[in-house]
Amino acid sequence: MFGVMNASPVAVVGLGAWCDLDSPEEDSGGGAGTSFKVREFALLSDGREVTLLDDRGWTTSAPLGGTAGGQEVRMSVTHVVRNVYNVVLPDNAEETGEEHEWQRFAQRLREAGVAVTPDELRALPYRVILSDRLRSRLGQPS
Amino acid sequence: MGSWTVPAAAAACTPYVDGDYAHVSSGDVSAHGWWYRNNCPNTKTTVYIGLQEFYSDGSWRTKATGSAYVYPGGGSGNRATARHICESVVPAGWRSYVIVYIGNGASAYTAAQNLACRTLT
Repeated sequence: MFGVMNASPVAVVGLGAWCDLDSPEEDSGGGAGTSFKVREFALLSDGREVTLLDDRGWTTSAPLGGTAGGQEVRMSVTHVVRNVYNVVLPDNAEETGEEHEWQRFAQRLREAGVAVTPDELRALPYRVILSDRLRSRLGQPS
Repeated sequence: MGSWTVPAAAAACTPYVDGDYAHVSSGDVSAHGWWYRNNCPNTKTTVYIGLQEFYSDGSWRTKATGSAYVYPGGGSGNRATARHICESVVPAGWRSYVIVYIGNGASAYTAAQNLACRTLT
């Protein structure tokens, strides 16, 4: 027999979405709007990360920061986090009620050598992570 | 003495619009648009979206449109969708525009994405 008999199978321990600015810094203060990119990932028990979806993002007409009526205004973290959840919604979410592309995630993980079912993925914690520069632009501590 | 009151124009509110990047799934290219109320009332309004493909003459041509009468905030059931079938996997540029007319109105073009999706017309 060959192989490692006692090796534990790799498991998915968490899911998340990473979000960063996708606009040139000089354009994110208003005018043309602000763009953000989003990457969904799975965190494995061996510490690796598997990218599940990396073609999502959004553009908003809202300025990231600036002044309005003589007062400083800044986009809220709530707005950004809510939009992260909005852009990862499956195209058929209205029919299925699903919040994530579980089937596609399970398929992607199988391709990466991790056996997991959509139901198992649904039960995992999911968190949104904002990049340091985005948090800074939103007035949040890193 | 009572104070005089007269009719006055309501201060127009300023909404925001958001649109996700055009993306490919199940052989279609699609995009969604929604709105944020900012200082507008928490009411339904119509969100309009158009899906555009880039052409070699430098023009953006609208390939699909959609609209939805929705509450602010986006999410399932509160977004407008535009969708078009991919007739080829040759890469092309795609973007969307999103418009609302409530209050002062708002509009935005989403950042262009090069996708393995092209139309033949």
